[in-house]
Amino acid sequence: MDRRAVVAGAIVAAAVVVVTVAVTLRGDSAEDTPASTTSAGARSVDPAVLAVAAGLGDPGDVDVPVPADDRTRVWLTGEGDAAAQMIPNTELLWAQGAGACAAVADALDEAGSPEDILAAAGGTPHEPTRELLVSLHTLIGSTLGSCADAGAFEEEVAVFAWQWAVTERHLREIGVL
Amino acid sequence: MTLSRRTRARWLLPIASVLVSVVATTAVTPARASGADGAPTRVTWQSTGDSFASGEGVLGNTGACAQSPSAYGPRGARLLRDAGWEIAIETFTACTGHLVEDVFNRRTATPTQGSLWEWGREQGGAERVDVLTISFGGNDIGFADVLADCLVGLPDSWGEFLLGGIASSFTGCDISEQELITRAAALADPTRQGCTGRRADGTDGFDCQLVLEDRRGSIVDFYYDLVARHLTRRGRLYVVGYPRVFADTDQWPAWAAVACQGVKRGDAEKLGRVAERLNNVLQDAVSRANQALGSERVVFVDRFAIYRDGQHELCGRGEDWLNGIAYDRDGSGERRLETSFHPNAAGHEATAHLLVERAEATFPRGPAIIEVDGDSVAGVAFGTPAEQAIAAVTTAVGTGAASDSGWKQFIAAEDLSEDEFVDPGEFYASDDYLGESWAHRYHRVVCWGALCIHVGGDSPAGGVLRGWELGISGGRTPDPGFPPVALTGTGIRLGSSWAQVRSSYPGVVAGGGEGGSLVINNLPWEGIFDGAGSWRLAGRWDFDRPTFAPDDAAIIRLSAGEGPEPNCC
Repeated sequence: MDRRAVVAGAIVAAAVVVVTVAVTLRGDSAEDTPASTTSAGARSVDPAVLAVAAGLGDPGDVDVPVPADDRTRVWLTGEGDAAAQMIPNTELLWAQGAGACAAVADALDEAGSPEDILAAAGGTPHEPTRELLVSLHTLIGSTLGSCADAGAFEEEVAVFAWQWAVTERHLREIGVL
Repeated sequence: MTLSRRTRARWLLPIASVLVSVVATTAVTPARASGADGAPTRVTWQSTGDSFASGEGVLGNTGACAQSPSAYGPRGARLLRDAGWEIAIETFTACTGHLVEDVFNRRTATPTQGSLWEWGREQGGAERVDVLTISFGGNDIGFADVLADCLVGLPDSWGEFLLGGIASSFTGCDISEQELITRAAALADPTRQGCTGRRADGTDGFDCQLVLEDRRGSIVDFYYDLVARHLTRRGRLYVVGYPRVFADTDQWPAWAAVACQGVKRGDAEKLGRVAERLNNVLQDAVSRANQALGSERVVFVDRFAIYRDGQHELCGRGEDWLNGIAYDRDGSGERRLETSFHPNAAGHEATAHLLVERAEATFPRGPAIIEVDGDSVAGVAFGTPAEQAIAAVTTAVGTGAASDSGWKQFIAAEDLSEDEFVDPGEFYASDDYLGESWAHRYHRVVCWGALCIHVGGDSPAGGVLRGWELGISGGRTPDPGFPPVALTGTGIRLGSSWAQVRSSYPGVVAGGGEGGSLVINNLPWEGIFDGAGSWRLAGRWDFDRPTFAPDDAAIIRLSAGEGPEPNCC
């Protein structure tokens, strides 16, 4: 079955939802629409803002302990690289909303099967980093699973955005991204 | 897809709470000499259960049963040895994915292809054991499937998520919290009878009675049967509960605001409530089993409590005592997702210390008492095949026999050279009608110190346990304290006073004597007559008061069952 066809009907609606949420949060002027604040690439929606919309607080306020040694960075830039790549491989969601679901799934499959990537995440030596990545993995699944339902996607992607933002910041902090 | 179907090895879920201080204290128990300070001797030990007992979550576990020597059962045995216990026989039959029904029924995953109990016997385990540790129940309510299917049930590709219907967390699974709680309650109070299937293959509902040894019943019945049929008289059954996997969400760190190990807050809370309910059901079942047994033979080891109190569940504030998502079984690169969400080495170590603390508090101190009565010795019933009986008593005594007559063929009454006073049907030890005789052609007597057993039959191969004697026998003067033997229920032993005997068996009377001993009559069971009596006291017989014995006269001989008896004084 062509999964692109499956989600096609939801793409437009979901994208509208994402943008609507962002606009509602940041004001109604074009310049207030959340935009990329990182070097990872242009975004039409700032995941941090979406995260706040989920009621989880500002991901920028979360302190995640950093590893005491270099093993985690070595793992996530080497054998466990597929886990770290969950961040860039899902970033398209912020630019295209549900319309990016199929492309995101393809990118993830390129990096590894769900089990392969979970194994990479689960093998991360540093416990807080491991927990972030394992939870990110779960939330990618639930977000992709909601792509065909605009209402569900709106809820899932906001929660995913929080996890994504916290994880991305942490991985940058420890030199993985 | 490699993980999510019910054909995979089942997992368990946890629950529970307690005693950080206890663990810390017992962890430094000093080593003592074996049997020192009244520590139990000749203990027979079996550790069994499911993946939460086998050590599935311990790095380095091996085999189809995912066993680790660091699992709480074998680890607890080692700690008790260090504390002075003499553990003579130890077996380890915990096996991942196993259920209550697998204890006495064949399960293909068991290495020997037999039941877990049979596996223990194949490892040299005693027919009845002193210490039996178990963790069962998690698989019996299908908790394993919940974990496998709902928490980490993964499709083969990310694209499959887009098709919908794949839930990567508990929320999306088609089982409710109430359903799991109902299943847990049904463990102790099954609502459906007449089932004929098994849980392992899905042909039994979760409301069905459990498949036990030769009947169906509740987990209360399971505990009862284990004690009544498979423990020694001093034995204890230690039921180890399940920990909760995830800590209370208010303990979760800020970075786990959404999920812990991929499990969302609401799902973790649901799983926690189910786990706590399961633990409570098991704890209550222990109480009910003890009530039915009439004594505290089943001991609950509250693993839930030590995890909870130390906040050792996942995302708790303490050290994690469980694995999160984990693939590494033994460092070899072999991928084994089943090791996820199981107690790790630290968790088993803590549980082992709690087990030790409970065993030290509840297992009878001192040397093993071999109990005897009117139809058994050391739990071996009269009628048991001779070799089996001798082996079992040897195990109970803890040492080989001091003497063994070997098989002797007796002489049939009609073959005696002088048959005028013989008893037809009897067989005589020698060509002497005044000598010893009994009703069987073959005889063998085996002795360990003061204890002797008689086996016999029409042939050595058909010989069975017939009776036992304790004390003076055949001119022997053994140490009356070895082996330590006492009458079941009363504790009467060699050296007990007449006052104690009379109090324990109100019907008995002194009935004459011979030399320095007094015969006791009206025994609670038939005994082996040695020319003076079946039971005897040391004391001077008073010709004028033939039924009087002083209160401090002491038991010097006890017996039961059949054994060769002299035809005359």
